[in-house]
Amino acid sequence: MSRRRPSGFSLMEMVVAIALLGIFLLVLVALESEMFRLERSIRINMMSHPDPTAVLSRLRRDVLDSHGYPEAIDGHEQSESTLILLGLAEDGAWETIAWDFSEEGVARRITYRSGEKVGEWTAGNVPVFTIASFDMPDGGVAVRVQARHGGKLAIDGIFQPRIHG
Amino acid sequence: MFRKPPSSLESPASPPRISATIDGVQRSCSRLAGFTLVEILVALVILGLIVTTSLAIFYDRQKRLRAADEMIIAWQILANEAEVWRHRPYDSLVPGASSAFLSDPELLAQLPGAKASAAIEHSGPALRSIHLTIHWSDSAKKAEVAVLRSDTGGGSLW
Repeated sequence: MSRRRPSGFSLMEMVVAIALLGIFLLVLVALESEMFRLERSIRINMMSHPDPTAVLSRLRRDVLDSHGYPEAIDGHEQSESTLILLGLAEDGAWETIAWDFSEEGVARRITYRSGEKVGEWTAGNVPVFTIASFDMPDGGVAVRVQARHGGKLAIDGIFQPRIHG
Repeated sequence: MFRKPPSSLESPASPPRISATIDGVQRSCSRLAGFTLVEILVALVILGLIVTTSLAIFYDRQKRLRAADEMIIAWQILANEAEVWRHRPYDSLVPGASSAFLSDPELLAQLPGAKASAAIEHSGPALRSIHLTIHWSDSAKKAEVAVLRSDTGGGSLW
């Protein structure tokens, strides 16, 4: 008997050890789930995600370079979910850009030349963007892009077209 | 568990030794039936250290996430405010004056304890600098952007 006991742990010792480990794991899992909930509840995920950031960057550049806001193009009209801009392409040709946020979680940038669709870029996993106008102190009208997360305003960008010589 | 077996088991024993051995085994069994106070205390202390460390890491991570979140909001507010101040008439920029932010305060309301201010300074001939600052009253943390405006004589350049 005294030769066999030192070769291992008793059932009770194993049960106690596993119970302690279980308690510790439970605490860790509870902390991790709380952390995960917290990370989801705040907007840092949204802004650090590449898709919303890419949409905002491209949209900002389009607005800064734009020369006007056409009323409509190819069935798209200026609205809370659609922004239409007139801009110059890199080759010097005029192009009309329609930003379409009407589909939830999707942002579409469609480009037209002479009324013909020439390109489309799509981003997924984006929040619901809304488009509004913002009156500038000098009488100009800026584009305001917003997105909400959990009822709170998470993205708010005011972009005004630059003065073009 | 790794206790040395009673010496009486190591060699054949005479009747009195058997009696002693039985006594020793009984004592050994009674000792193995549970943990000593020191063992339990050591186990609890180790468990307590692990849980305390985990909690400290958790709260630190939570604090950093909130700080990063607040800074993201602050930079959005400052970018919007800079856009607005770029389009104010140059004549309205009076050196020495300070003002509240002019853009929508909805985002600013999400920063508890934060105050925003715009200060205008004379930076040189026909130059004004506008310092846009958000500072948190409960810490030394602040976010700041400066916009330099030049007098174009009413032209369209900013």
